[in-house]
Amino acid sequence: MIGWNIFPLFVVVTAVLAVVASVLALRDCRKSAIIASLFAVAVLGAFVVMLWVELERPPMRTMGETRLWYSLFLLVAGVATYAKWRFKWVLSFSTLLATVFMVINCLRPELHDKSLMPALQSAWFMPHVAVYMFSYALLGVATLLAIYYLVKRNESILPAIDNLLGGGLALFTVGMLTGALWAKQAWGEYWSWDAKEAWAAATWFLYLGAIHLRLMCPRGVQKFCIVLIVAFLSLQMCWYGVNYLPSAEKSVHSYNRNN
Amino acid sequence: MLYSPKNYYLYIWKMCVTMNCSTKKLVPRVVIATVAVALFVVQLLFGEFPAWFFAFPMNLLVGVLWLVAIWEGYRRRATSVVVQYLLSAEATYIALAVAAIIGVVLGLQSEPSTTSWLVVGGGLYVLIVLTLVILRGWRNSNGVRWRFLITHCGLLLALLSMLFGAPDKQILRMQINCTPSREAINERGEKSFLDYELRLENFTMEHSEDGTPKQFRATVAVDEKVVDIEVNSPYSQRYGEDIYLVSYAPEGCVLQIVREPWRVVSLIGIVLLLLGAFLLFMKGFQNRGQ
Repeated sequence: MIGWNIFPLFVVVTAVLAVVASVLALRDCRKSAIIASLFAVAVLGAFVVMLWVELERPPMRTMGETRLWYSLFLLVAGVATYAKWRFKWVLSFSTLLATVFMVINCLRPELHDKSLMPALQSAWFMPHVAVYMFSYALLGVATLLAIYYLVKRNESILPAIDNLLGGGLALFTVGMLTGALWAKQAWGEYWSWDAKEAWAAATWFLYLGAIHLRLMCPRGVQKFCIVLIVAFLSLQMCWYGVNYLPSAEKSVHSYNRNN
Repeated sequence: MLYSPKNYYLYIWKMCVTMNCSTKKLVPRVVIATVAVALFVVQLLFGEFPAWFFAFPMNLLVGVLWLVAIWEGYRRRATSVVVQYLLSAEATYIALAVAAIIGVVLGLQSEPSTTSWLVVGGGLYVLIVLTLVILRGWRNSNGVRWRFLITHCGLLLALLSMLFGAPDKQILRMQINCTPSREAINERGEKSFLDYELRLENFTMEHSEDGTPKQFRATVAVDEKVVDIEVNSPYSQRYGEDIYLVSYAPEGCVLQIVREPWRVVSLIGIVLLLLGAFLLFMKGFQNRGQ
C-alpha cells in the first residue's frame, strides 16, 4: 500500500533536493537552484497526490496531512520568492522550515490519525497559514535591516528593505484575504473584528503606512524604519500575542487551547 | 478697524491660508483632535452609533449623497483649503494611523464595539481621504494608473460594504429538530420569522478515538427540499442568504442564517485587493519614476 509508510523516503529525496537548491542559491547558481527546488516540490507533490488517491479524499483532515501541505506550500512560496526577488537566503529558510514539518510528520505518526476540528477542515486552511508564515519571515528580515539602518545609516540596504516589504506585505495581504474568504464559508462573515482579525488589520494598515511614507516622503527614511519596527511589533501581537490578551478569550481563532 | 462678523470669518480664513507653515499644519491637527474628542463625548452621552437607522434604503441614499458631496468637494480643490488638506500626504498618514488605531482598540476589546462613534467616524474619515485620493490619482500624464486604481478601489469597496452595508447584515440563529419551524432568534435576542420552513431530517456526528468531534453533518429539509449542511460547507438559500451549521443541541442542531445583501461588493473589493497583492508581489512598490 502507498501511504505514510513510504513517506520517509520522499522526505529524504525532497530534503536533499531542497538543500542542494539552497546551496546553489547561496553560490549564485540561480537557474540550477530554481530547477532543483521545482524537483523538490514535484517529489513532495507526488506524495500528496498518491496519498490523495489512496485515501480517496483530499488529504486535509488530520494534523499530519496539514503539516504535509505546510511543507509543500513553504517550498512553493520559497521558490516563487527566490525566482522573483533573488534573496539568496530565502531558499535556505523555506528548506529549513519545510524539513522541520516533514521530520515532525515522520517522528510523530500519531498525528496522521488525529483529526482537525471540523472548522479547520477546509482547502483554505493550509495556504492561509503557509502564506502567513512566509510573510512573517520576509517582514522579519525587513525589520532587522531597518534596525541595522537606524544604527549604521547605510543607504545601500534600502532597496533590499523595499523589496522585502513589498513581497512580505503582498503575502500578508493574501493570507488575510484568503482568511476572509474562508471565514465567509465557515462562519458566515468575511470580517468580524475578532481579536486576531483586528490586530491583523492594525498590522496591515501600519505596513501600508510604511509604504506610503516611503513613496511620498523619500527623505523620511528614519521615520520609515521606525514605522517598520512598530508594524512588526503589532505583527507579534497578531501572531501569538493575542492568545495572552483577555480580548481573545472568545476568539474564534483560538484552536490551541484545551476547552 | 471694525469687521462685520462675515468679514471677520473671512479674515480668519485668509489668515489660515497665508499663515506660516507650522501654524498651517497645526490647525487641521487641532480640528481632527477636536472631532475625535467630540465623538468620544457623544459616545459617552448617547451610547453606540444608531446603525439600524441606516438600513436599506437609507444607506444607499446616504452613500450616493456622500459620493456626490465628495465629488463636489473634489471639484473645488483649487480653492478649498479643507480639500487641499485632505489630499495632502499628512491626511493620508493620519487616515492610515486612524485605521491602525481602530484595529488596536477593537483588538483589545473582548466584545468589539464596531458601532461606536469613534470607529464609525474614523472609518468615514478614512473613506473621505481614500475617495479624494482616487479621484485625483487614478490617472496621470502617462495614462490610467491601473495598479493604483485596483488596490485603492479594492480597499474602497471593502470599506464601503463594511460601513454602509453593515446595517443590512442580519445573523439569525435557529435550533431545529424533526418538527418544521420558521422561528429564528436575531442578534438582539428577538424572534424573527423566516419565509421558509426548516426541519431536521438527520444529524450525524463523527468522533475520533480521543472523543473530539471529527465532522458534523446535518440533513435539513428546506421547504421539503432536502439538503446537506456541514461545517465549512453552508447551503445557499438565495443570493445573500446562506444557512450554516454551527453547533449541536439535544435532539437537534443549531443553524445560523446569514443575510448579507452587500456581499458582492465585499467580494469584488477582496478580489481587487488580491489582484493588487499579486501585482505588488510581482513588481514591488518602488515608484520607478522617482
